[in-house]
Amino acid sequence: MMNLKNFFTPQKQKFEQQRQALNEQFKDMLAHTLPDEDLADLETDIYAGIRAYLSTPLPDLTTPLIELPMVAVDFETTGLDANRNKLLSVGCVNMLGNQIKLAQRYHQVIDVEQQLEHDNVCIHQITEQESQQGESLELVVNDLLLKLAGKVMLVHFNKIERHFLTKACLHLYGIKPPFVMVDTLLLANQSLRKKGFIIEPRDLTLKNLRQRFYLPNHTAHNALGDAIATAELYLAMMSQRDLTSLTLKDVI
Amino acid sequence: MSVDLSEQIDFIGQIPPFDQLPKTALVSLVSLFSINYLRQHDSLQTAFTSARQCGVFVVVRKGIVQQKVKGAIRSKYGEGDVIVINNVDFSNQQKSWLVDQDSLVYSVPLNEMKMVLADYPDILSHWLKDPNQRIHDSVAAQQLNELSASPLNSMTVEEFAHTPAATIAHLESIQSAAIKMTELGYSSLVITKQDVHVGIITDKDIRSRAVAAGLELTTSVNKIMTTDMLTIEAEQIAFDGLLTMIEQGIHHLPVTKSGKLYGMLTLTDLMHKEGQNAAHLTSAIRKATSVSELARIGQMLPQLQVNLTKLGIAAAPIAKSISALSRGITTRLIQLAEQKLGSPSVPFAWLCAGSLARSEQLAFSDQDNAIVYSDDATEADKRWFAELADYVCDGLNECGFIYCPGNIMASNPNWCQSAKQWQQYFEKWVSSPSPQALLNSSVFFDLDVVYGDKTLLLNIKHRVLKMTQQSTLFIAHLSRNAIGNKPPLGFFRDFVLISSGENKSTMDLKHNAIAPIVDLARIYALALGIEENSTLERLQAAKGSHILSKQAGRSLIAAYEFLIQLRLELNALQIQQQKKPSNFLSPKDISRLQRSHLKDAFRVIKELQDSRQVVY
Repeated sequence: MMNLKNFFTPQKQKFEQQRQALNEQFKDMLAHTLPDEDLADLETDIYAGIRAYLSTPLPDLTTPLIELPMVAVDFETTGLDANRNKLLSVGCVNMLGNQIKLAQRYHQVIDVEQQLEHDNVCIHQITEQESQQGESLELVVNDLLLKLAGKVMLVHFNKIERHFLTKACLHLYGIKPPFVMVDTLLLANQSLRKKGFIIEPRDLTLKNLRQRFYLPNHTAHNALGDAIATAELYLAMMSQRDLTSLTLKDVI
Repeated sequence: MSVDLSEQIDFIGQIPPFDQLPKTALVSLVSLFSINYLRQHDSLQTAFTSARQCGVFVVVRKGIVQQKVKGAIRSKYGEGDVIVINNVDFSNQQKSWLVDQDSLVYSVPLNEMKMVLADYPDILSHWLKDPNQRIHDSVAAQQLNELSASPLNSMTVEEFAHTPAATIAHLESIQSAAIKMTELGYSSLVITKQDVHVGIITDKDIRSRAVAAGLELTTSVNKIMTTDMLTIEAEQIAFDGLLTMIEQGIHHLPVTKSGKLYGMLTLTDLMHKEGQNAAHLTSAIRKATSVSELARIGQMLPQLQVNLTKLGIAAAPIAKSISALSRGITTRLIQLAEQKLGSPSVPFAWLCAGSLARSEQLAFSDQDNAIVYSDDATEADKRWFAELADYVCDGLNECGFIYCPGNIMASNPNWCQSAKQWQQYFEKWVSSPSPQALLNSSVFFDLDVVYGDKTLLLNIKHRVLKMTQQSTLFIAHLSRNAIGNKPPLGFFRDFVLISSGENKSTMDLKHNAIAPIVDLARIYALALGIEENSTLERLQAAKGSHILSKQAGRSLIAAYEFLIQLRLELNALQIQQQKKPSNFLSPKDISRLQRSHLKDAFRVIKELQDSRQVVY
């Protein structure tokens, strides 16, 4: 099994300081991306996302989990390698404390402008036609960053989301923003091992972990469905702990 | 936005009446939901306290939630069950919803749900109305369902109408109308004026508007006719005719063709089409000359019951019809026995107990009966009664009313006794009651005369009712027995959750849901001195008294009507599938809507059982 430690959001990593530094560094440059006032209504401001993300303070490590603003996020991709593969769709849903808010959700398929390999179509179930009707990567990442500003991401196996999102930001803006991620796979791995379970990689899939926590069978294979499934798993796992006494520091 | 939330939409969309909701409205509704994961012992009121001003609508996605009232478990909610917590419930200390098994729940504040479902008031009111009202409405819907499946849907009125309609001129006398009706054997006549139909008179009009009002026999019929006469066109489907008659509570409907009087449609005709009708069977029973002939008629009862059910006739009148036929068969058996055995020297009465006495018997019921005879009976008479009892009980068994497993039959010497002995039985049961003895004898507190000298029983009944009204100990014992039989707490997937906490794959609709109401009604009747035997009549009479509030009575009546209707439908299905009717119901076999109505009914029963517990 891969060394999971590589994929932790390192506690020592000063994500908020990084954000401030990046914001300082790119503030002036990003200021030029503001659309002219008279055009504001006509053009989509495709830099609004990165500006908002960099200029909004991230939650403090001491924030109690019950007050922590989180966004459960899932990506569908054409493969596992962010350098060679592409982001196909993004789904996310807001969480506040111990509640998932379906009203605050987002789901968008991306036009990857390339042929999709048959094998992968079976997994992500996004057909080429659907992809062609999707939005551009630029618009989707912009939308997503607007939703992520000032919030912590909740993901299952953060490597995919971290690598693909970082890669997209580098590609679109030339900036590598820090992303704070709570990872249900890592949390489960830690707590199950602590309890003395012998854990194999396949025990840690979203499907199997949900089963372990007696959550309903989850079949949807789209990014929003998986984001909600991840959020439910998080709530089920955390129900055994006291959300008022735990802070962000305890889960990243 | 593409179609997302498909899992949540599929799940919510299955819950009636959301299955009636257009997709777009369903999507808007589901979009409002929040998802929570609640742990065992969590309180829903606490978890959703932010919605306390307007109330909250909760759907259990996984896990079990239980409702407690004053500490006692009232109901359990599993996957797909809905819990509506109104704003008043948030401050009600006595009522709580607690998580029994860790639960994933969907919720939406009621004010938001009201807004998004503003265009669907029926669906909204389904959830917002009082659960008791929900049962009321469901009974009506149940009958409508049966109606729409009727073969009458594919036939026209013309195929059923009697032609020509019997008429009489408007200035003819009431007496000549009565003579004409008698001669023709009709129960109604259309009144004409210069060959145009202007009204209708029926047997009932002559009775209530003429005889009871003291009119002269020479009064003209137009004085007592119904002028705003409903009619139906011959080419309309027969089902419309049936609906009109049921809605208006009438049995005759004049038929017109292009506006001109064409014939007469009667309820009996429509029912006749559906197979053997009750009236026809009654006369066949009266004419039967042997037990085997009666047995053949008895075998038709299950099909008659199915046909009546399919006609959309309510369960109580169907049970009444079946009971009447059962009494008819019993009477005929006794007459046949008398032809064979001669007559006794003293008066006697053949009694029925239990469901037949309450006029709630259905086909395939077992028999409960007894004999009471005059105290002057000789030894020879007693032998005669024993022979009669054997003959009739055997005959009933052949007719499909199987021997009583508890041996509550006239053929059991204990229950073939003199009036004096019966009086002693009752005195013992009432004045020194023991729970076990009452369990066995409660069936005798529903007792009626089928044949013979009615006064033999009436005298006993009067005295017994006087005693029961004064004996609180007796009522207390009876109550204890009655509330020991608790309805299930709810359903979990395809299992029935019973009070002991176990899961079962089926529930006994008769024993666990209908019998508790029958028992309660009997207690009310005995405590209040109500003479009626039938459960519905007892509840009607008891409702509004100090032991049964008007509102609670209404709810119990609705729950009872729903349950007997459900039982009838269950039986109809079994009979059609050539199975022996049983009262075991599997949650798998009923719709989700019926499940939720059943839960409403259980709750009503439990509420009233609990209040008996408080009284005694």
